[in-house]
Parts: sequence; structure tokens; C-alpha cells
Amino acid sequence: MKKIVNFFASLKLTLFLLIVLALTSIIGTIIPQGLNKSQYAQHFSPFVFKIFNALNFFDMYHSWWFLTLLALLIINLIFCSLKHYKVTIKRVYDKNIILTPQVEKTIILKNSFSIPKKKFELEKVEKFIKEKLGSDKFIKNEVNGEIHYFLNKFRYSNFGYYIVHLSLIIIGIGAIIGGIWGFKGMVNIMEGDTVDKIMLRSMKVYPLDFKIKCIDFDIKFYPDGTPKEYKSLVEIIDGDKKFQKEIKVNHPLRYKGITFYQASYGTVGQEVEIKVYNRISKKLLFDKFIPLKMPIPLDNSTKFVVLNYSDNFQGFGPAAQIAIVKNNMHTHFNTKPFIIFKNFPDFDLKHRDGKYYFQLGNANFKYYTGLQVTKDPGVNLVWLGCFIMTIGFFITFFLINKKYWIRIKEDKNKVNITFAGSCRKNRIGFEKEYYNKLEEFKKIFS
Amino acid sequence: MNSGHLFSIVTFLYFFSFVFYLVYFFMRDRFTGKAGFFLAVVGFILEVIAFFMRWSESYKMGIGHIPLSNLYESLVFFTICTVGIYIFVELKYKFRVAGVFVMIFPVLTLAFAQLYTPTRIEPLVPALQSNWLTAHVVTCFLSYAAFAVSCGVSILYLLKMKYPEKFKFVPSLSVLDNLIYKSIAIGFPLLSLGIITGAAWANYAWGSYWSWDPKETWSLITWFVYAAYLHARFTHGWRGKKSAILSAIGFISVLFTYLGVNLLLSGLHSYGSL
Ligand code: HEM
Repeated sequence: MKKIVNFFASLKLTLFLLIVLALTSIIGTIIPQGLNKSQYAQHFSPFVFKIFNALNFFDMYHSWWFLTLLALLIINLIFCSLKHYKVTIKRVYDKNIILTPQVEKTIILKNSFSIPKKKFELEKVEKFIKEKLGSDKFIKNEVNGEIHYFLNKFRYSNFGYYIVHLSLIIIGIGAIIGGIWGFKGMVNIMEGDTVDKIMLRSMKVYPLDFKIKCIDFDIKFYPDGTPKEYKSLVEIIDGDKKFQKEIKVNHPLRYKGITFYQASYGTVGQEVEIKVYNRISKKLLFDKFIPLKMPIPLDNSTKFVVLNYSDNFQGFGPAAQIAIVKNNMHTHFNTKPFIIFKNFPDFDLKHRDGKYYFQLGNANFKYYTGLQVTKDPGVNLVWLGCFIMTIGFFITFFLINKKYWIRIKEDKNKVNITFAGSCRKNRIGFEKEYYNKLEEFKKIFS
Repeated sequence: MNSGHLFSIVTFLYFFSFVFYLVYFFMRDRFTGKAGFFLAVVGFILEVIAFFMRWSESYKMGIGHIPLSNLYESLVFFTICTVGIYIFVELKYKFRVAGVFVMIFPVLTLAFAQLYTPTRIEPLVPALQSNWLTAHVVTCFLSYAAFAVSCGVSILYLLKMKYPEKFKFVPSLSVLDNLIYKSIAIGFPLLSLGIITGAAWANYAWGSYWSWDPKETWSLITWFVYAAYLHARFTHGWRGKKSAILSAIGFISVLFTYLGVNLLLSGLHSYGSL
């Protein structure tokens, strides 16, 4: 039993786990994760595929062995913290408040000097501790005619790493809760439509206990054509309660613990208005909204097709790609597709030859918005853990525990003083500080 | 004059600073050392000015955002952090000999950034329009810079250990060891903050604070390595050679997190593509 406990509490295990986790994590950054099995089968030889598959390399961060490593780290953390708490408590409530010769032996930084009695004042010493060593929480003792001061500055910072470790446990619990009771899913909603269920990643349908309606979807572009904003205006309908809200990238909507994120969009039932003119007479021959990819006859031997439509083609605004299809002697061939722009109506007139020229009018279609839907009841615990971790780091790394002793012993006409200090961390830095303080201390008596 | 010109001037200033530090490294005369330091400081001030100029230029273009949004801008910010921290260390520790080891990084980085990455000011795509972006990039890059310092000192440590005669002028091994620890003690909490702010941002933008994207995973790997360093140091009493090696490995992991992932692997992060 004891052996098992010691194993789980050992720091060798910590180092081993940290290094093994670091090394194994690399695998999943090289092999793309979570694709379809058949995609991997195409990519790797059957033998390699079998091995990788058996080792769960295609979804390794959720595999039993990786999760076991993470769980071991947390178990290790708990056991280790329980085992070491006595040492930490000893550091915080240091019993060596009196600088006896035995204690003195264990301290490396110590200096003794003496000064004439008439120059000595006890108040000066206390003032020095308060102002220069920076704390009035010193302990004063009188033993055998000696006066002892002991200062254990920032002693609680020894608990700092407990705070860090506790925060890791909290984050771990948050992640587990999210993994068990949370979900991730998707829903596409057409403008004007209302839905009350979503599709989970696992391909299951999840019913919502409220309805969500997409009122409007909108994209904005920068002048150079880069997308600037994706915005859905939605309405939540929950019984008698109704309210509208915008969802944008980085501005999700949260309702009843479920969060909706702007993730994608698309169009359906697209129709664009095309005007066709006779190139010579400039007469308008045709002006209709037509769907994409559908051949439209112009005369006996000519049809045209709108191949593509873009709201903003390379920064030039709405544009459509058109192909003309000619029927000649039972064969038909396509001329090279060309582009027309809504904002440049004469473009086709000037840049192409042929019997007709084209203009682009308005586009008429419906957007659908693609929302990612997640529920993660553990996420607040994760943030709490992160917050606590930040505090823990501040305490361990910046409020460093330092100890000072001062022993004062009066002789016949002089006073013998011993000054000592110790610091477990940052020894070299502390040594500098120690000698500075020592100099300042000596100065107060001159 | 626009920020681009100023960044080129800064590159030259850093280059000459490096040259002076190099001469100083071999000749050890006071003038070249001072000149190296002076050029580094002037370059640093101009680079900070150029950073703000680029910021204001983006507003004039109507797409205003802090210049931390693509690979070029992040490389520039990295050099600002490195040189800033180095100047601080030199002022505090009077540690001029390290100059040649440190200044080579900003020179190479800036030259690479200006020659091989698109330097145009680009508008922010929706996912990058978040205040978390600034918090995330600043904390990450400050931590990278702190780790760069720890790596530089670790190399110096290993060199001095191997050739004690040649590196007599370098501070003692225990001082170097302490400096390594100190910079990691600053870098590690900053890296943790960088990971946390990144997770917070991902949660707002993509709906999940952690998705094992290669960049995230590599930052976690880096975090594990430095956690191992800290634990080995405080609980196994690893000092000196072993811990210097671990800190150098940590920095390789940092480099991979920052550049390797973008250049060699693929993922969510936009800093990628050259
Ligand atoms: C990734 C996980 C971990 C992180 C980020 C972490 C972080 C820390 C930090 C920041 C410190 C303070 C170091 C210092 O004093 O400078 C510390 C100390 C410590 N950690 Fe961890 N820790 C982790 C995992 C563990 C585990 C699993 C154990 C359990 C065996 C452990 C045991 C300890 C102990 C005993 C100390 C005290 C060191 C000392 O002050 O003597 N840590 N840890």
C-alpha cells in the first residue's frame, strides 16, 4: 500500500509524465486529427494504417492512453501535494524564530559585528526592519539577555504552488464536466426559418427547449474584398418570451447555457438579374432574374449560362461569370467564360465582341447562417481555474519568501549584533539583497 | 517617411550594434561596447516609434488595428520585446558580453521579415477582431522573448562550462544559472497567461477553449517542458548543466510553436502562410 502511495506521490513520476506528455503530444500535431478513416487509409500503407489505428493516433488526444496520462498527472499532483504539505507548513510557520548556535549553523548568509554602546538604540533596529526590510510582522523575543528579531517575509508564498496545483485540478474537473455533460453541434438556418433542434457532431439530433429564428444574415467587405463582418440577426422564441440578438464572429449568443457562434454561411435559391442588349442597336432584349447554371436561350443557336455569382469579386463588387453556349450542327461548344460587373455596366460592351452584350442587375437569393452550437457546463470552472492559476503564479514567482534574523547581545561597553538571512529560491539574487541590507543596517548606527 | 522605411533603418542600426558587440566580444575595449549598446537603444526607440506609426497608418487606411495581426507584424513585435528585455538586462546586470549573442536574433528576424513576408497592412478578418488578440499576442511574445534570453544564457553557460579559459570574462556559472531560472520564472507565467488568453479568445470565436489545434498543442508542449524544468530544479535539485540543456530544449519548442507550426504544419492560426 505504502509503495503504491509513494509511487503516485513521487516527483520522478511527475517529471516522467511531463516529458512523456510533451513527447507524445507531438504525434497529433504531425498526423492530422479526426479525419475520416478512409482518408487515412488512402494516405498510409495498410500496415502503418493498422498500427496507427490500433494506437488511436488518428484521434490521439481523446484516446484512452493519452487521457490516462493526463489523469495520472492529476492523481500524481493530488498525492504529491498531500504528501508534501508538512514540509510546506514548516516553511510557513518556521519554528526557528531564535537564532541559536544550531540554527546559525544551517544558515549560509550571516555576519556579526559590534558597535559602541552609546551609539545603539533598539528603536532604530525596529525602524530598520519596518522600513528597510519592509515588514512590521517581525517576532521579537528575549532569551538569556539576548534580544532576537525574526522576520519571515511573504511566508504564505510557500503555499503558492499549492494554489497553482489546485487550479490545475479545478481546470481538470471543468474539462471532465464539459466532456461528459457538454456537446458540440451545428445548425444551418435559412433567413426567415425557425428551428428547434440541432445536429450534434456525433450525428445525433438534439432537441432544443426553445426556438431560434434567423431574421437576417449579412456580410460586409473591406474595399479590397477581404471579409469584414459576418452578422446574423436571430430571434429566440421561448414560450411567450421573445427577443432579438445579433450574432457575430467573436460575439456569440448565450441562452440557457447553450452558446451559438457564427461559424459559416451559404446561399440557396440564388437568382441574378441579367440584362442582354444587342451590341449594334443597343436594344434591350432580355431582362430577367434567372437561377445559376441554367441555360437560357437567346436565339435559335445561342444560349447563355450564369456559371457563378460573387457578392464581391476581387474588391470590384458584385460580379457574375457568364458562358455562351452555341448550338451548331448538333454539336455545341462553349465560348470562353467572361465576367460582368454590376458596378461597371459598360465593361462587357467595351471588352468583348459578339452579337450581344450583358449587364448585371440585382441578385436575389436567400442566405442561410451556419451556427456552431455548444454547451459546456464546465467552462466556468475552467476560467475559475485559470484565474486561480494566475494568482498562484504571482504568489510563487513574485512574492518570494525571505527570512531574516537579528540577534542583539549587550556587552560591557559594546553591543554585539548578528545579522542573518536566508531564501530558498533565487539564492544569488538574494545574496545581493542581503549584503545591501547589511550595509544599510550597519549605517544606521553611525 | 513611413513606418516601413523606419523599420529598415532600425534593421541597419541593430546590425551595426551587433557588429560593435562582436568587436567588443573579441577586443573588450570600452568604446565599442558602449557604441553597441547606444545603437541598440536608438534602434529600440525608433522601432517603438515605427510600431506606433504603423498603427496610425492603419487608421489612416480606414482599417485601423494594432499591428499584431500577421506574421510580419508579429516578428517585428518579437524583436521589440527581445531588444527591450536585453536592454533591461544589460542595464541591470552590466552584462555587455551577451550582446553579441542576443542582437543577432533581431537582426536576422527583421531581415527575414522584410525580405520574405508580406509587409502590407492588411485589414482584420472577423475572427481576429477581438481584444483578446492583443492580450494573447502580447503575453505570448513577452514570454517568447524571456525564453530567448534564457536560451542565450543557457548556451553561454554550456560554453563556459566546456571552455572555462576562453569564457573567463563571463559571470560565474552560478550567476548564469540563476539568470536562466529568473528569465524562465518570468517567461513561464507569461506563457501560461498567453495560453489562457488564447483559450478565452478561441472560446469566443470558435466556441471551444481547447481544440488540440497544432499551435495550441505545441504551446502546451512548451509549457510541459518548462514545467519539467521548474520541477526538476526545485524538487530534484537539478542545477547547472542538466537544467541549462532542458532550458535550451524548451526554447527549441518555443521556436517550433512560433514558426515551425506555421511553416511546416497547418492549423487555425492565421500567422501562417508566407
Ligand atoms: C503541469 C503540471 C504542473 C505545473 C504547471 C506545476 C507548477 C508548479 C509550480 C509553478 C511550482 C512552483 C515552482 C517554484 O517553486 O518555482 C510547483 C512546485 C511544485 N510542484 Fe508542481 N506543477 C505541476 C505538476 C505537478 C505534479 C503532477 C506534481 C506532483 C508530484 C507537482 C509537485 C510539485 C511540488 C512538490 C512542488 C514544490 C516544489 C518546491 O517548492 O520545493 N507538480 N509546481
